[in-house]
Amino acid sequence: MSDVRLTIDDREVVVPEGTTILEAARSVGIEIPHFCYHPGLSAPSNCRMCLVEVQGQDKLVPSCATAVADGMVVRTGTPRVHESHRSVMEFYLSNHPLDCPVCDQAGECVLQDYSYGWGSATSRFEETKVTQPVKDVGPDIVLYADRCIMCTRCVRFLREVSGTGELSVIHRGVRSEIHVAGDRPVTNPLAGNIVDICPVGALCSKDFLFKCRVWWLTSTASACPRCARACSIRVDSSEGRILRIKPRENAAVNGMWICDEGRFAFRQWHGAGRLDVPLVNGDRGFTHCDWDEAIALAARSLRQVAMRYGGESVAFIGSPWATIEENMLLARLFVSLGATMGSLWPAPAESPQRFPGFEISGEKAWNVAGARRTLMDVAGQLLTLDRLADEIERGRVRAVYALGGAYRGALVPCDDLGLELLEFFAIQTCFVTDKGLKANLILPGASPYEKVGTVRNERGVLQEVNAVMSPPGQARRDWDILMALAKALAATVDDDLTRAVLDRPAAQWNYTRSASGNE
Amino acid sequence: MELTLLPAGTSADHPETLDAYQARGGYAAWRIALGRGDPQRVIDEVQRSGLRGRGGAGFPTARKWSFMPKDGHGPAFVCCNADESEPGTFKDRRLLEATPHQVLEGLLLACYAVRATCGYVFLRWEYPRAARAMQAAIDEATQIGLIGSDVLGTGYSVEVRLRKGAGTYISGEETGLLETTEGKRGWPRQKPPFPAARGLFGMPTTVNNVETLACVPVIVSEGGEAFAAIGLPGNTGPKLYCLSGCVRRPGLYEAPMTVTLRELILDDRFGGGVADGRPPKAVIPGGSSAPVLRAEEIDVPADFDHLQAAGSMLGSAGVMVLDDRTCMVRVAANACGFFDHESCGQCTPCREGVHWVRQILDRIESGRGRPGDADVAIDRLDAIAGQTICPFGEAVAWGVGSIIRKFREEFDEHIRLRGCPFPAWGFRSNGS
Amino acid sequence: MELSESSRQEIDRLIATCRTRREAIVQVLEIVQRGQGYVGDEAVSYVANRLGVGRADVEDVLSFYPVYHRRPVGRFVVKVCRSLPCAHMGAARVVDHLSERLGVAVGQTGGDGRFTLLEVECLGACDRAPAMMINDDVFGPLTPERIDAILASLKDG
Repeated sequence: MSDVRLTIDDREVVVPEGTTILEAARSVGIEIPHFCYHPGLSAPSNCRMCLVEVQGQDKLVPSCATAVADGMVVRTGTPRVHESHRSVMEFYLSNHPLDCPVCDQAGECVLQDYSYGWGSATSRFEETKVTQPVKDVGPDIVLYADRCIMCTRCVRFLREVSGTGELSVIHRGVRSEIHVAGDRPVTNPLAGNIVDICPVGALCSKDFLFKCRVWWLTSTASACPRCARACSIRVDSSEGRILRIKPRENAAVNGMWICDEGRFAFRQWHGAGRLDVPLVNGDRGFTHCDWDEAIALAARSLRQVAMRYGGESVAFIGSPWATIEENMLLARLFVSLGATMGSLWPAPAESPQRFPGFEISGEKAWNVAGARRTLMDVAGQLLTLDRLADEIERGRVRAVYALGGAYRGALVPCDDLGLELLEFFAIQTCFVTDKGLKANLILPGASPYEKVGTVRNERGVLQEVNAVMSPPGQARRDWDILMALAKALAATVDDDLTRAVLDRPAAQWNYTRSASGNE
Repeated sequence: MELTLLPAGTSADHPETLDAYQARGGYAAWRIALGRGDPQRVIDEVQRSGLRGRGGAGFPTARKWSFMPKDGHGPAFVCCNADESEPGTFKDRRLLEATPHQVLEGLLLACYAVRATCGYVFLRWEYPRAARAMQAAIDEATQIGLIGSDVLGTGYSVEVRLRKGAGTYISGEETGLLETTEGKRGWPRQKPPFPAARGLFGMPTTVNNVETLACVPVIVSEGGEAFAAIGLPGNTGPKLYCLSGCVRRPGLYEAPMTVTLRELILDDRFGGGVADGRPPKAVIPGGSSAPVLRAEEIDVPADFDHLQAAGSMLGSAGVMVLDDRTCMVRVAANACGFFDHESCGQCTPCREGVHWVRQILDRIESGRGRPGDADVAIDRLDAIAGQTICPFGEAVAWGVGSIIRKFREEFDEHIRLRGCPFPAWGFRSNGS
Repeated sequence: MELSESSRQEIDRLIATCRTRREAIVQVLEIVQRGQGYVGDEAVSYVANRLGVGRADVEDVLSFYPVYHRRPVGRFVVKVCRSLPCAHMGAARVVDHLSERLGVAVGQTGGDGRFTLLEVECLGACDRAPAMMINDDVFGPLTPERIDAILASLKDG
């Protein structure tokens, strides 16, 4: 495709043929106001907010639906364009309930934002507003139809991206409304995205509704732990509590969307059953102990096994829920003790879910690829759990140290592992239910939302993850636990590694470069 | 073939049969065109005739056809726009009910001219008689091989399909028509792309009005020059006028476009005068979308160019006559009510604006108007024009806006009097 | 839903002439309504299934086009034109007169199921203003006497 050269607001812009004026303007940082346009959807140009002046054309043109042409001269800020914006805003606000004080969208509402630029403090509208009902749209979505501006983003998303088509426009003219077609609620796995793309407070998440004013939220960029796609997300929290999760745009990973499982995955790690204190398994079953005791026990037990049977009798199990750094630290630590056998917990496998505009991975952990490759790189080989069970049964492995960190109830594939044959088994994990693992020692680790590090998704894309909150109670970040263990073992941890992890962004560390030749 | 759209002996009571149509020269043009074997010659003939579209915009028909790709290999379509819904307009109904074959022959010629593979007749729901007549005509013509594959052994194949609308004005808008034909809600499309590039089912498409197509057989059989000899350059051919409102003899009349509005209303060959012998107050010359003219402005030829110069338009040639007892606020409110009901709701200015203005006008008419209301109404109408996806925005802004502008004194008087000084609209006879 | 055999055949013939599944929606709904008088929920499902489109697509179309009735209507559907030429010539009086004679308010169907009274936009019968349409036939210009005569001449069945 050839390039097109045009002028926007006296600036020379070069974009590929077929680009719209709106996108061309965006590419040089000129934002043309719009409601219906969304980069992930078709452009119906129905809101008429993005009209701009093109030299030689009588009428203003919709910049979202007009392709650039060579030599085109576009002006986005002339009096005529501003007048058009003001006019469209007046039409919108004439029929809008203006209930910002009780609207969830306030603070991140496009209509509200634009009304600062092109709104009017007084209304000339003396007529009766068309009232519309509040509608139940789905298990987590409610529609305040009064606030709807009929941009049809939601309808288009459900037709074009999820392909499920639950919503449509019914009636016409000023009585047009968004309709739950055939009374079939919006339950598809991508449903939550329609709340995100609604430019006003019409579609709201029931889960988030009235919980917090958006300006009190702290936003943290991270990746979604739910599946191997590891979608780029923004975690919005307040006072250490996650209140909602939204997608971040990332063409290499998730485009613009996330699935509802990922959106609400934080519930799988938080709430009841979180481990918040080290547990030691003794004569009276599991009892609490303090960290010094726990780390000392682990170090003592591992050293004893290594001395008695040789370093190779100590094995480690990495985790697809742990970061690359955590897996690497685990592997390097144990390799430095003489360990040669390592394995990796498998991620729960489901069928992938494919939609016209999105795909959800069937591998239900974010760092499957990153963990596997890291462990391989350090240990040189990686045993399957079956092989590890063999080695345990033959008595060649006498102690195992594992990273866990799975969501509630996910880490149970070890019934056949023969853990009871071991002299020592310790695991860093999140849930009390993981006591079923018959470990000697259970160390309370961090959930994906409490970690800092890097993950690698199934397509090989590295992403930073950031901590939204601290681990509960005495629980610690897994990196910190491993460092404490290393210290107790008097093992030297590679300085490079430590520094790399501390000098984030880790996505640029040397590991990436050294490993890149393998693919 | 006689150079007329209302041939003697035809009547809306009985659709003309195939035999009767052929007896007066029907389908001769179709045979001539196919015999010549060159679609371009149809376009050239229509070009010479100076035919301009009769649907409202008055775009030169031959030029519109010339936009269609000449080297296309896939399907291409011509849609006959028989969705006549503009208040004051009933000419296409007559053509469809009385002379369906003439419309059909025009459609076939248009299809051939633009190398279309299929013609669609898109007919409004409210014309069931016309639908029956047109379907019968299609069947008859198909039976004798004038439609179908390899028509008359020329190698040209064309089909014709009848599709019915479902009661919306917007389906008569070119791209609204395409959407409805595709079985969707009649939401007009943003242009470009124009239908000649991406039309029905994404294929090159031309949309022509019924009356436009009815002219084509006459042009091809009698020659473009003969057609062009009627009227003045740029405004050629016989034209149908729909006369309604306060005239003695409302009805459909054919005249060259040199006829003035005053003649149409007062001349005994046409309307025969204002009903009850009253003076006219205003005339809307081209359906509800056309700007109104005051009585003193009606000495104007009812053609495309003169009416445009007079600040109005020929539009659908639906000439509505309003006498001196007519309340223009009520006229504006009624027209705006129509547009409010018919706004498709797709784009913001039209959806919100028309309803807003309608409420203002209803308030003024019912005595609840406030000073400044008329200004807000005009301002909001101006904010709709030029801002919408389709020309509906201009239709309402120009049509309704002109009434407020030209009869502002009546709006102000309503507000001052807190009520309407004119008589209610009761049963009226035309006094003929 | 009892759709007559002839309606079904008409639908089959129509679908054979359509290029897309969607294309038939508007036309099939017309056939359904002509056969049944209205398009009920069952009919919506039938059309969606017959055409292989979503219910949403059918409801979308149904709600956009005003000619479809979603509920049963009278044997005679009386549509009075309210657009400018007819309004000017007394459409409101026509409605009043009909409403009184039929005992039915605008938008309603009489208890005996004979009449449904509706106001509609331009019927394209402006030369016969004020005009109305009863089922497939147009009447006008109307006067109270003419309306009474027309009503008296209507034959059921």
